Amino acid sequence: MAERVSIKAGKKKKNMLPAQVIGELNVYTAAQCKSELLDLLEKTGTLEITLAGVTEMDTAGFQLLMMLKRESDRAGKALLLTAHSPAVLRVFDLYGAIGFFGDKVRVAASERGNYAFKYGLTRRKRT
Amino acid sequence: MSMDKMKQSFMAEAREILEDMEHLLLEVEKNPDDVEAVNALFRAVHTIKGSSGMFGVRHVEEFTHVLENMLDRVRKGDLRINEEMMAIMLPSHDHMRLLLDLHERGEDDPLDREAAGTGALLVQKMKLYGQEAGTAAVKAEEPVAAAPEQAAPRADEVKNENWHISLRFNDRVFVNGLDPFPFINYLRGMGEIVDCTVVTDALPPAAQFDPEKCYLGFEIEFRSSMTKETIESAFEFVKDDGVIRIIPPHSSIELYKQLIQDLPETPANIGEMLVQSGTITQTELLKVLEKQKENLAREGVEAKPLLGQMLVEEKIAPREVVEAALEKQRQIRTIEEKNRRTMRIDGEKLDQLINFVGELVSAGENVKQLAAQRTDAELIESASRMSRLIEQIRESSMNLRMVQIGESFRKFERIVRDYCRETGKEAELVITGAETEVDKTLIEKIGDPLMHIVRNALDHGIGTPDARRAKGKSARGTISLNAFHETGSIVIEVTDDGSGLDREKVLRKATDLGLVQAGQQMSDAEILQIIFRPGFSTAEQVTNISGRGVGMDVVKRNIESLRGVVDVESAPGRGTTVRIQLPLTIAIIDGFMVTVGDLNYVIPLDMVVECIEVSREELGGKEGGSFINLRGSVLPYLSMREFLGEEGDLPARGNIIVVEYGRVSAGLVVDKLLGEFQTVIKPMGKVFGKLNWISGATILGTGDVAFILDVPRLIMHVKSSAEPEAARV
Repeated sequence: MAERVSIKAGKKKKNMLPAQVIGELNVYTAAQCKSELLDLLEKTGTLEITLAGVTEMDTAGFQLLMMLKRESDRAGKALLLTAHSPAVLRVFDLYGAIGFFGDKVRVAASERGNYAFKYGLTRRKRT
Repeated sequence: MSMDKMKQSFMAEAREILEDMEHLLLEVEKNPDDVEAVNALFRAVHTIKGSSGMFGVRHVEEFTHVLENMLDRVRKGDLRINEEMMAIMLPSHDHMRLLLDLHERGEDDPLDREAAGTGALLVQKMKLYGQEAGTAAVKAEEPVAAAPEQAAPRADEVKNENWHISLRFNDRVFVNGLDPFPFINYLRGMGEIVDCTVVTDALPPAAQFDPEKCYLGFEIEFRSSMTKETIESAFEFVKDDGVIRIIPPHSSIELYKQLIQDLPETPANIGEMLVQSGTITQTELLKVLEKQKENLAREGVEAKPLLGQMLVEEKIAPREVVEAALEKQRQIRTIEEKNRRTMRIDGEKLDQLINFVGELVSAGENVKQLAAQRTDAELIESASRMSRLIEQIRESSMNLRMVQIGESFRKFERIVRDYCRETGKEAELVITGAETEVDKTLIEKIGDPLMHIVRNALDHGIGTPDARRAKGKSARGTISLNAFHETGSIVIEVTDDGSGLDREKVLRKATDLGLVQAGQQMSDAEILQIIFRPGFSTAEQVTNISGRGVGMDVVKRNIESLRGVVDVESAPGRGTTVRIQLPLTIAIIDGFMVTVGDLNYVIPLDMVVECIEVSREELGGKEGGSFINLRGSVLPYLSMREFLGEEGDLPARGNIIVVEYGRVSAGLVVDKLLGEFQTVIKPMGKVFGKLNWISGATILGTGDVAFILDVPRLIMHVKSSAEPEAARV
């Protein structure tokens, strides 16, 4: 069976490690993603995760990212999420989590109508 | 029920609703003021949206949402159904069907460009349409809605005019296969999510974090005109997997106090969160926290207030309760009505039952035969009583497969409508006998041929309004679909009141195409039969509806494969009727059993005309063989012994069974006649695919196998081998 998800890390430059998640980020892959992403975070000061390849995301996958974000805050590190795929954005949009993560989100004008982007856009306190 | 099964039934139901929807659309088009139909239409769309949201069929849900909004406007009277809207809504229906199909095949993620394009275009059209006509009405509505609320301000109620929904799931919700996302997303279809805050207080540090447990809570601000019941119903599936608290707009601050108190997070945290999301104001929060302190100080440890008390505190309760009760009643009534009418059964289970019944029929026959051999009067009587019962069981179990044909007729309404739009012709579809019952498999198989016939009727039968007027007919043509039962078979007629088949033209065209020889004398009936020949078409122009010359021959073949007959009647200037006659069921038939050599064969009884005993000499004596004189007419025959390659001793006398199919008769010479026999048709394996003179097999009570002869093919064989000889004579 093909892997549901693969996490690839690039070369670390100036304490920043680029990585990408390709495939599903959901309850089936959460355990694998948790250990692999935490390992990556361990190795660097700034972890930048490209989410363009995320084909599916559910609440479990979302929760994992939240945990990771808080973990990086706690350790004084930075977690950057970039190139959110539509699968990611629809969850972020509904859950009003764009402000929580505080990353820039780019959406093509033609797809703008797919999302509400009405709330949760400003940075919120993370506890 | 497993998720897979649920999804299957969702798909089946969604398709049914789509069928209803198409029908309703056409109803509404005819009669835009039919409030009932508009409401039913809205409900249909709403249901599809809701359930596709539940099952994560995102594209359908999103698309349908837009359509629902538009219909909501129609329902409220802001918009009126007109031609322009129909031009959006019918394609929208088709698009929904497409999206469902794609989803079922797993091809909707991502959507291919064509489907996405169609969808986007329709959404755009709907949105634009809604806006132009809708904005004025919406603006006018708002102050009205706000007025009563301002009229009755109360000291202890919050300013918030939104619902507040607080969700806490137990940590096993993911493991139970549920994801909160679709449920929350479903709310979007019922109103507007003003704010959603994810509560992360329970989220443990990485080391203790179990990625398969749910730690998150949700606080949602929701603007909607729905009732509490309806909003609650969105969470029906997860209600056992968490705590769902819903607070209506303008509730007493007490309720928020209660909420803050009940939630597992610390009051200060949750309070702050509620302020941040605009649920309550800072002052209101302070009031809550103060009251809470007072209460705690005064009462010490006290039991939580009962639910009834909370309802009283809920200012809005009386209206809510009444509305909810009404809504529920309505829902229950429709559900009950449906339950009484129908019951969904897995097709496989039914097939299995019918299979067993088939075996039972065989076994029963066996008992009957044995009893007859024993000549024990009591046993014979018991056996025949059992036979009768088995017969009844057989009939009622076959009845289970019967469905009313009307459902499948309804889709032609759309075909007729679309065709008329395209060509400028005018036609009306009249359906009679919609309640006639037919085997479900038969209905499925008859759909395509019937479609072809209806299209033909539209294309060739119904003329343009001008042409019709010139002939003194009303501009609007009529196509009627009629179904009825006739001695063990079902008859479906497609009739048009058009110009009828032009026999001259048919003959000329057939001569041009080389299908008949020039100057050949043909009877009217024979000429009409030409239209069923492969490659025949009279259309001057090839349209996208018909005229490619692949048509009636395919129809004929399809219907014959179902052991049916198709023929055509046509009166010049008055119209054409195509009549399909099909056996009621295709699994069990009454057969006539014969033997050839050592083997048993079954001939479908309804094709047997008569049996004649003949001597060998009579058969063998003819020069060139295969004809006998049957009461003055020539009957071609086929010796089954020769045909099957049976050797061995010839019985002194043979029997000829005269069979008829499609108005052609032939004789089959067999050794012995065994009589009538109830035959359960078992399909033959692929290995026997090339044996096209048998249509199946059956197992006899004795355990022996008998082959069912494919009479139409045998007749064809007899005819083709007889024809050259006929030409010589």
